[in-house]
Amino acid sequence: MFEWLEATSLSVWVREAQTIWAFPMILTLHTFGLALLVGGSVVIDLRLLGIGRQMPVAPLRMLFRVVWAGFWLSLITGSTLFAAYATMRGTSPVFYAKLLFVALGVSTVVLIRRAVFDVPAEIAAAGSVKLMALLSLAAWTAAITTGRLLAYL
Amino acid sequence: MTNSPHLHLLLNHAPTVGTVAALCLLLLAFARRNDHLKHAALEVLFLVSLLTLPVYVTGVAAEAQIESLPGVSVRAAERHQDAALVAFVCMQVTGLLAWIGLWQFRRLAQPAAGVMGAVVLLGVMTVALMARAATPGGEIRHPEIRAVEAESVAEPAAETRAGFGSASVALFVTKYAWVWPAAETLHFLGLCLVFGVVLAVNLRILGAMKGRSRRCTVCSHGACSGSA
Repeated sequence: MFEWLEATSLSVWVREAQTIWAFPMILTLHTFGLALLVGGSVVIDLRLLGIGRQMPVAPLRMLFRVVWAGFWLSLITGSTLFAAYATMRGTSPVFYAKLLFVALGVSTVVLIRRAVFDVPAEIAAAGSVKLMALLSLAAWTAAITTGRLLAYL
Repeated sequence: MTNSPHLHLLLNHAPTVGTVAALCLLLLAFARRNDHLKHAALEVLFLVSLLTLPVYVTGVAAEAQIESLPGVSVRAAERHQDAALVAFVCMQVTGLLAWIGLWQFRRLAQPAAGVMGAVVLLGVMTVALMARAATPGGEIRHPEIRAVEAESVAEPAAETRAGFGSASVALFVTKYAWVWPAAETLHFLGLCLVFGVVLAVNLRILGAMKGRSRRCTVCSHGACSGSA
């Protein structure tokens, strides 16, 4: 299946086309998506951990739109990049570790939104929210680290 | 058409002259006990430290372009690059301290004495290190001011030079397999932090994050009124 994916015309174009609109541009868009996804999440996490206390928490809800936009951009461009090198990435344990950490990071985004922004103030528990924020920071750090290691391992 | 050597020639005196000018301004500010002058001196130092970034980068690129030209002393270029790296690091630390001083001006109305003292001390060190870097820099294309060539011939090759030189840094990065990926990962994390915070601030300025005021859901104390 990985071989078939790698042989499709889109994969061949991404991998072999001598133009900046192929691999370089898709990789750049992937980095933009990553910056939106992780950048937005990290701002929310740090705020929930008590950094920048003078800023209210409620307006940060807007950042979830940015985070999801970053997620979809990363997913689309990441899938394209994966297709270009499917046999190499598909057999790499580091790639699956990255997917695991991304899944963990996205789960914490959903949980934080539900626990902090979608419930009455009286119900939210500060301790668990801070734990989720810490987990989110750790997950995104691990996702970026494994993502970069993919290029070298 | 402007290229790296041309840009380097255009910019390379700015760090030395700029740091001297900023230090003179700072000393004048101390003599006159004038906070406005202090503020201006710190701003100049910070701007000079930013300007030093393209000076160093264009210098590295220029070396690669001119080292094969006739009349160019490769030894002088290597000495210049090593000395420039040390001066560059010292300049950036000075610029960081100047930035902290400016931040203290804004938040505390007055920078701490320790910060100002450190800025002066590091500024003087930077000027000395810049002068040390400038001397071999001039020797690269000016044989009339070059020291006896035989002395430089006896110098070790770039790969074997010890201490904190550009060659030793390059060797460290290329020798150990983990250094480049680790630096790149930290670079990405820094990028995400900067991007996220700037994004939040810009969205707030654009009015997209006004939100309604509601009781804080993270901390429990009543005085919070929407902030944890």
